[in-house]
Amino acid sequence: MEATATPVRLESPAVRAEPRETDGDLLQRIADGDSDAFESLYRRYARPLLGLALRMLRDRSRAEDAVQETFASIWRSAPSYRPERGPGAPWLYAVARNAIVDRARARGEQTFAEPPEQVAPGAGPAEETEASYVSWRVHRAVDDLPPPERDVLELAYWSGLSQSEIAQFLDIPLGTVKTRTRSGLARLADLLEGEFR
Amino acid sequence: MSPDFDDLVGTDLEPDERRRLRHAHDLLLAAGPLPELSPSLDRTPGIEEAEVVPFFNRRRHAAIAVLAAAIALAVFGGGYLTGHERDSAGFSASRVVAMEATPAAPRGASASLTLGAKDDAGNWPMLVRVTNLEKLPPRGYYALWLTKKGRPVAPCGTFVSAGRTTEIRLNAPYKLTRFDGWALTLQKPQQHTPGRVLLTTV
Repeated sequence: MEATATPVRLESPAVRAEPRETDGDLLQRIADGDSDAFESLYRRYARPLLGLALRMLRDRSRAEDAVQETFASIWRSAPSYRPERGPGAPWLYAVARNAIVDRARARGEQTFAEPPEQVAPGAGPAEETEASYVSWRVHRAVDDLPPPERDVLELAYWSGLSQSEIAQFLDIPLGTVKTRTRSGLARLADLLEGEFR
Repeated sequence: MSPDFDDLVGTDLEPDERRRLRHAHDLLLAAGPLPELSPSLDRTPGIEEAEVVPFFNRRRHAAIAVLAAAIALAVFGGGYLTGHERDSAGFSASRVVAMEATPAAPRGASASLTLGAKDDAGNWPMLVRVTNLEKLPPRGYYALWLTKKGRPVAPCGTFVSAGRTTEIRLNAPYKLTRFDGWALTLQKPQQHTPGRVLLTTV
């Protein structure tokens, strides 16, 4: 009798490894003047925001300035966040994007949100906006994964390591790397369910 | 080079599950890695700059500063003064702080940190001596951080280690009273946030 491979159906994990405060919780604490919550949000979003600013401004120095100013803006705007209107991540993205555009406009600088009159090759403003939000949202979702799954996905996708290199680096069996990759992708698919289709 | 989807997940998934995972795979590729934070962005803006953060409560600020100073005195004071001795390489030592291994550290790992005198610009030179740290795979490295509430928050430099003992000169360009100790972490390739803490003064 011919042997057939048994399809693996991954269960959607219902329990997260470590409960974390949501972005919305942090924003509500920031609205009350909680500097610890502000620091937590900064640790969570400084790099995504720098990535967004770099995409929009295409200049490292200007982008770094924009990050500093955008967080000051988030601190000031936090009282206007309403949890009943939605989660914190899209609100933060909108505040950040507006702060970067406003800042650039005030200085007479151009961002991808203000397209030049002549069409340049490459992605247009709409595509750039979409790409920026994808990056923002995906990194936020990866940050929510349990650390063992997050580690293998980051090493595989963003550090360029092969699965055997990941196994060597983390000192775990290759089979564990494969299992964690699958479960990490499955959990990420759950977290991003219905988005970007 | 982008990772191959079939290499990562195999070919034995049900079609629906395969489509779901493929979507997540494509999003990860589209997202790309995040940029590294420069030292100037490593600290949270607006906490100290009350003028940038108008809602900040000055009384609370003062209380935090006093608490931070007290913690810094208690923790950093755990070292011993060496009377500004100068080593053969000209390093002027003012204080030595021992670091203790966490359960994540290799067996027998230890470190000490000799703090030099602050220069006029505000840099604190440090001579870090680590013992029994493992040689890491390519692109892995160690990092020293200043900690707040025991969490690594401000980078003081990175290094690799080979052999039983390694000595490295690093620098802390910060006001030390804002922190409560140091931590040494293991960093994965391209990991720019603090990795697993191996040694700590807290």
